[in-house]
Amino acid sequence: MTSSRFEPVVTNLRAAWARAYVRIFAASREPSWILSETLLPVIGMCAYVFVYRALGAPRAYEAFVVLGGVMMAYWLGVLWSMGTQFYWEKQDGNLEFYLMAPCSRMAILSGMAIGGVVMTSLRALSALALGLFVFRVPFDLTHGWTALLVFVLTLGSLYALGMCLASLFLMYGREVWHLAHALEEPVYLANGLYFPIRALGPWMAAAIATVPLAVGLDAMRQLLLGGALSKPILPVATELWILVGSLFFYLALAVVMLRWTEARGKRLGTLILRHQ
Amino acid sequence: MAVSSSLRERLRPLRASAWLGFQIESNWSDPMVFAVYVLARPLATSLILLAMYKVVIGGSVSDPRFSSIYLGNALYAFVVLLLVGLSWAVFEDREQYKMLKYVAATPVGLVAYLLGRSLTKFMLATLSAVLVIGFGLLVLKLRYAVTGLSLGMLVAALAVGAVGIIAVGLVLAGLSLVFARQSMMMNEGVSAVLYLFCGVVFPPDLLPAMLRPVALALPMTYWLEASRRALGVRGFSALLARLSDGQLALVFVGVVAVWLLFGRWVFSRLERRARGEGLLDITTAW
Repeated sequence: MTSSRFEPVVTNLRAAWARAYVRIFAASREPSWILSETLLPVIGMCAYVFVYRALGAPRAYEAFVVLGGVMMAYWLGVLWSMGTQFYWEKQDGNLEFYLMAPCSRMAILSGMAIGGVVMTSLRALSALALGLFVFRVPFDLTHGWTALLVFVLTLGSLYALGMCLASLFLMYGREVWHLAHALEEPVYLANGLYFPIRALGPWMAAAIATVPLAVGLDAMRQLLLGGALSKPILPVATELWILVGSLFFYLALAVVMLRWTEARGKRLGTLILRHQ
Repeated sequence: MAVSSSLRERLRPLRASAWLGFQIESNWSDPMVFAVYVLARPLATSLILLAMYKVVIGGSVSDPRFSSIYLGNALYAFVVLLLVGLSWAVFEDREQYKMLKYVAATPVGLVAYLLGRSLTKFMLATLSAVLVIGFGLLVLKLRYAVTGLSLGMLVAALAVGAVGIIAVGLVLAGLSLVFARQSMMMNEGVSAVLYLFCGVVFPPDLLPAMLRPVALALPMTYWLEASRRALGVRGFSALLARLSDGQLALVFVGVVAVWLLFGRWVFSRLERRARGEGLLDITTAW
């Protein structure tokens, strides 16, 4: 009786781990991944540090770029390793197996998210190490634990948003690639990845209302760089609550969207239709 | 007559793969939506730079440093689309459409096929660069010397620069033949690295001394400098300002020629390896 009550939970946990396992351990079997996923993008981040240097900006602005580079790694992970993943699985013929499996789709998405966080963290840590040891950006760690809490909540919200994107992207055909590309630089701009979000003027409200990246970054900047430099848009406590709210909101939305997309795909016969 | 027929015969695969590339790129959408996608990235990057500039300098954007940064960023669309497009075509055709093995089995050859595919990217990059520069001229009121002669020089620089970009792209495409699908992120990474080294948004003079030779070995560095000079923006890089216009042109063409030979050689080696190890039809998904 007890085992049957917990069986769905155990099955879902095992499914999540199985999906995460592939990502975590496959990475170690393909060394070229280290170069392409970690080293090259981190070097690219340096360009923005040099832009600030070319403009004669105070060194503290370089910390904006480093923090932005760390969070950019996760946003790219959300887009390409979460958002487009179900679409890619459809192209590869794996989606049918997920649909047949006796587990929740959310368990699979959670596994993808956990595996994705582990994979992406290597790149994010490299960006942080570059900032700390090469560019020697000045971070104040007095509120380090609060900053860590903000970081974890931001990641949670971002990956929950990634689950929503996975459902959304499943509906589309090839357009999904272009959409994912179009959500790179425009999102960096809208979320003030390399500059104080106040520079966006009235447009910053749009950023706060959509992607949790802007709110998380703003809170982390306040905690790690101080309020004077980071030119905050909201107090940290308010931003913490926004992040908690967006985490639950996007999780609930993902469940609804996933069910809707699956039902719609089955009805229209497009759920496992490739190359549409 | 025979020469023209032979040329036509040689150009046929290029034309066919360019048309295929255009269909793949565009037939999922109507032109307006497609234009938004093409424009979104370069325009957003330009606006990021504008925001960074305003945060530090504030006020107007009449500073020639910003004009240089803006122009470099607008032209960088050619690197992102053309160079990355070559490598992306390998991953797409091998893993998504699973057609690479059939292309490899035809007498066309992979290089000609990939070059044809890149023609579409070239058109898209041209559209993107023209619109972003137009935005700078009309909305941000940036000042560039736009005359018949300057545009002619810009086009000439682009013609040589495009060959250089393709040459570097062949190295990347060759690597894609032997790397797993996850390495398609390599494309993004390489375009980010070149953004750092080619003097796109800051002069290569600012790079640490040991990295400057890398910048000076890349054709894109000279292409961007030549393009800036063509539009009347001078003095962005003190290092490159030492070269007269004639010297710059000579070095530019020389570096492109060396890269073209190197790129072709690397691609041939890696193509042979991919064929030998049976990697042309491999699918790699995690």
